[in-house]
Amino acid sequence: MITARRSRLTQYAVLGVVALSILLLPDLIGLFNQPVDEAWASVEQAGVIRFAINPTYMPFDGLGSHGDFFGIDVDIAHEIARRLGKRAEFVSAGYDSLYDVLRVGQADATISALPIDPGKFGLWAYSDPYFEAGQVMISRLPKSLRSTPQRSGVGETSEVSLAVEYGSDADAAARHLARRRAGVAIKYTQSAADALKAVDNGWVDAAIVDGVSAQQLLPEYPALQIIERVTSDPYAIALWGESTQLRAAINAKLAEMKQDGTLQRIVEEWMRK
Amino acid sequence: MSVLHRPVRFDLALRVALLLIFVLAVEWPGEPLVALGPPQIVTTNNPKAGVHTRLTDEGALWKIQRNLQLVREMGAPWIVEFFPWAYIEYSQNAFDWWHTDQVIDHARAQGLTVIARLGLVPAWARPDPREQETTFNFIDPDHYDDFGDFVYAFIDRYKDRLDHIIIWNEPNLSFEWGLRPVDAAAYLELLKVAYRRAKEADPNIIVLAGALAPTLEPEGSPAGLNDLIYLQQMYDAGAKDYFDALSAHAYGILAPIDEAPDPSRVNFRRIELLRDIMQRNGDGDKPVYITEAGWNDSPRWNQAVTPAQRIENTLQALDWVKDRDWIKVLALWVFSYPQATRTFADNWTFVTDDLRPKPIYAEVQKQLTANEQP
Repeated sequence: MITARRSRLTQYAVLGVVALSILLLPDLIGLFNQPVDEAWASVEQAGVIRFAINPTYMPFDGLGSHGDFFGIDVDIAHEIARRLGKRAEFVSAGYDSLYDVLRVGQADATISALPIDPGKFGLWAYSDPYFEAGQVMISRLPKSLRSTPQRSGVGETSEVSLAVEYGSDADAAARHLARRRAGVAIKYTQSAADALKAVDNGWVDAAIVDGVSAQQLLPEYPALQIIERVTSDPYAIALWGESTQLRAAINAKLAEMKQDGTLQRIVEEWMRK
Repeated sequence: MSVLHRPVRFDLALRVALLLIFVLAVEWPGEPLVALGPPQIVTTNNPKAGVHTRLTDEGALWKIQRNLQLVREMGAPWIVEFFPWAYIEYSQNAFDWWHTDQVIDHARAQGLTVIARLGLVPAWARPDPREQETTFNFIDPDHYDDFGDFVYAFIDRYKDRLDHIIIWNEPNLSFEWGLRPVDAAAYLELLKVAYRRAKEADPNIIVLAGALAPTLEPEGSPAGLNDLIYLQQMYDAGAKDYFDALSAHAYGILAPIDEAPDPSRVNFRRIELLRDIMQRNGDGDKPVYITEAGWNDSPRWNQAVTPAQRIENTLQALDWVKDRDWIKVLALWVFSYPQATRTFADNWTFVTDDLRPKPIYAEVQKQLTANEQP
């Protein structure tokens, strides 16, 4: 019996080693087959980070009459490059080409208010997010009365009126909310600005608008505040999937910029313009 | 020893087998069971309403069915769907009909009428890439008969379930004509072959031609050719006898529905100018099927309107076609994509990629099903 038990243990041990080897095989192969970060090599050699940009979306991406790029993305790119001891250059690309320019090596990174697309993970990669453009709920109500995810509305009141731009993603979010929470009445406006005006005038309890509109418009309404993030739509810098070193370098500088307030300052400056 | 070892080996084998079964079950949970279900009917007050679905690359059968259920529930009795030749006849005379069967059968089960758009050239019908790089939309005259054979096989299979086909898509754009200069006479030769073979398979099939892209590109442009010029060139080459109806695309771009047609502008009512050309060529009795149409509401695209304008224009367009006898269908682009594109293209859709209806879906549904009893 002892022999049999020993034999069984040996078999289990062998099986375990085989299973572990199979599990770790991709990592072991990866150790000896590290992809080369050609973008980082190019950046190191030239001292320049080439950012692809589609300059058609202010306040993030604009193009002046003299071929000068400007906007939130441009300032962030310059700041990242400066902190890395490099220089930023910009490659204008069509919105549909913003990923392909990385594939063919025409740019090292793309910064163009790009929402993260999980379908692109693998061939492409993203930096840490630098802006949240998802829908937010805005109200005059103090934060202590913020809504809960259960069947209650803003401020636990039985009836809550929500202003949204008709047909927009905010409208979609509001309709979704109204199906899940009792007592939500949706009031339609022609724009996100009108929705905030309705809250400020006390015509409705709250509004849902996108993150960009919120950042742009809230300074005009000091009594209003974001009380809830309704959806998430983060913007990030896209890179070719193998650009691991460049990605790490960009993330490190983005983290610094978040930490010291530079990122917030850049965003706020452009949102005020 | 052998007496002792036998049960141990059996025990181990059993455990390994159970482990494998567990792993397989976790890794391949399988598709939910999708049955056709009882036949449905579309409740609508607008029998011309339709959408262009995009089920071509939709692999999950339950999503195909759910898309089509949502189309029915919106009150649209028509769908236009793309059935790529390259996907179906993957090598010459070898066909994979599974996906096409699913789309057509599930659409019929939902009470929808399918207009099948045929195109996309398989690799075996294109030049050897070592000699000439070509795109999926490239077809040379040597392979027109191969396309004709595919059209025959397609209609022969579905003639009891399908009444309409569209031959090619937007041949007046260089991209859709294999990144070559567009050529109305060459398209007509392709159309002739397809038309003849389609009628051989089913004399009652309705062959739609054109599906022209609304564009102002002048003659000689590398991008394409003005659809009005292209259609006249088709007639000049003798197209009249080779199609039963015209397929037209009607994009509003920034213009509202009431903007009058103008040859120098792309707007929804540009289709009236196509109709004028048909009449001038003695072809005014043929109907027009609008197989793509709509407005985009992306804040990221300078050719887009606001969400409210998109809804308003779309509802007005659906009303507008009701009273025009020469228009058979208004199919709006596009019901959904299998995956979100995360670009302005997502702002053409009526439901999200995870099949959540957008506000425009609800508003169109409200209009199409008003005063109708399900």
